[in-house]
Amino acid sequence: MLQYIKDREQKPVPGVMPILAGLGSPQEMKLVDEEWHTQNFMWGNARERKRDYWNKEIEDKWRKTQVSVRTRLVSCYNCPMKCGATISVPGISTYMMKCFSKLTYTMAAFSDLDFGFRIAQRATEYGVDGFSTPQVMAFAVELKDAGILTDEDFAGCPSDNEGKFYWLLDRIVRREGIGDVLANGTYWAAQQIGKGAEAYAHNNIKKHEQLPLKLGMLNPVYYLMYCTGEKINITQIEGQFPQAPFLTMEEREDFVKDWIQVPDEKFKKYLLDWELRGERSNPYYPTVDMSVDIVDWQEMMHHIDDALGMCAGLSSFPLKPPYHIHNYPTLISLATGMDMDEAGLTQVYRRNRTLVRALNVRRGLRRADEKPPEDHWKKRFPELEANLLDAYYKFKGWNNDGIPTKESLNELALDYVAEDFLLRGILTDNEGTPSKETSPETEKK
Amino acid sequence: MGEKKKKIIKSIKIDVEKCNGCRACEVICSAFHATPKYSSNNPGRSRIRVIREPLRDVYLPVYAGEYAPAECMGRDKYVIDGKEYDECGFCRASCPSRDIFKEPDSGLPLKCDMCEDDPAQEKPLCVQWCINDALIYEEREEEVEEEVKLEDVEIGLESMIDKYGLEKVMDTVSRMSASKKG
Repeated sequence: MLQYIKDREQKPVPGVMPILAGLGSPQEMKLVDEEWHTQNFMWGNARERKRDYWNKEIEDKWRKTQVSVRTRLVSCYNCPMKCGATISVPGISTYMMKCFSKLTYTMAAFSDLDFGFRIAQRATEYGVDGFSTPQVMAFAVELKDAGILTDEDFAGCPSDNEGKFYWLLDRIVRREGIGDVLANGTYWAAQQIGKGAEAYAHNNIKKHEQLPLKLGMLNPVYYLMYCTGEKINITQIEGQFPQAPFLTMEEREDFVKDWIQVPDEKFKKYLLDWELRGERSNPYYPTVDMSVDIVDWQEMMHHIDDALGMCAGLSSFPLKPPYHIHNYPTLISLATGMDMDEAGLTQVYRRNRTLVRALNVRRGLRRADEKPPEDHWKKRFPELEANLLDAYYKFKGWNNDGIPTKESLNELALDYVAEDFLLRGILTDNEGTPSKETSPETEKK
Repeated sequence: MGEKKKKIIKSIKIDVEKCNGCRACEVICSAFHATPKYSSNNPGRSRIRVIREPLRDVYLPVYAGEYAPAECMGRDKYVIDGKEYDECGFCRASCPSRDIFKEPDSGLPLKCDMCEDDPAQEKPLCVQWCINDALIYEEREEEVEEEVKLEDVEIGLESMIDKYGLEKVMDTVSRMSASKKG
């Protein structure tokens, strides 16, 4: 295992962005090349894509900044990887940073890397979330520009761009004035502010802020993961299947030849046949059934990692990780003394995932909640999207509203869940189809 | 006494710039030295300890060395290139002034034995497990004077004699051996 990790670190996956080629989290502390993030992710309140942002001048400037503040490459807790770093900006306290937090403040504020490292120190010390906080601050700035938030809401706020973000951070953390509203996140803040603010909270799924991404073409695998993921953030579901096709057959064959991690050989074929353009390209390829398979595999590995307390950076998240479905059972048996094999581990995953779904269903989750923001991709495909969701629900043994059926619950030895659902009227005895009233409020009775 | 012989000198080169404080060395050392081997791990009984102060960028692996019955008259504190290390930071001794390099339960001293094993390990386990190459194992041949090498039992007994006195230790051993025979 250790040897594989050492070897894999020496051999980044060719043909993908450097940030995705290694193990662990995207190696943003080690690498300076941020072309992928700055050009594919959105700036501001998930607002603007800058397709030509990255250039030599910015790379040099950001390299200088990064190298000057990066004291040592470390990792989370006692991990020997180097996904993180201790950052020491002169004049302010040292802190630890990893991954996309490097850019979230920078991009939300349309600023530069130096600003990002500085404000992140304060944000880290405060303990706020590095993804959603920059977005709610950018959201507030947009609302102010639109006149929905007033000078009174912003009384005392500096006039310079970076100053605004520092001021907002301090207000949010202390729940002072407008900070008390913003601290609840864009979804709830928009509800509370009203006056059309809802239109500006445009990047939520299930009321939670998403990564600032608004892409062109719909990727069906990602569509499903965004819709149905109950770990709420795409990074907690996605992983081992490449995000885009390789351009040449040569590259694809090179990738699959040592792809030991696939649960089944069919996943290699899915990748080999995937083209950038034409019939076998997004959004219709991977096909509906293939997309469901791929999502199921990625979701499975994340849930197993969660059950084991394993870092996704060495398992469910990167390409070709050291931990996978074929070696996990043996490792689990050795560590715990439990009898475990692939079938058993897959069953554990199915039960866990279904139980999570059941808990959320009991709190009112339904199909209507399972949708990405309207502007998440430039072009939408309502019929395909409906087919994808139908197929995923069917595969999981759920009814058309995303509720696990009595039969599928019993198969997973979750009959007590079925009983609870029947009692609450979430399921009825007729084939598990829900009764007419499907609104969460009435079902909570 | 005084006879010269060829000896393999084993050394571990520690690159403190490469250490990132993961403490895998502590885990594997304590596991390898557990009885039975690998049955448990407890950094408290590791022969290598990493002195780790991330906010000051101090990452210092230190190996258990000689047992010291009494602490030094004065303590040292190093400042290297402006970086301040803790007092006694570089010391390898199993010393009454601190907890490291002692068995957590009995207080008996620990000492790094370069993972001498049968069959012999290619390199000490800590070196094998350091993924950041902060620990590098080297061997060289030297001519040295023959010396008496103390075993674990002797090291342990010496420390108990220091602590309780020879008479008490001998009395205790006699009493125990009499009750076993009885």
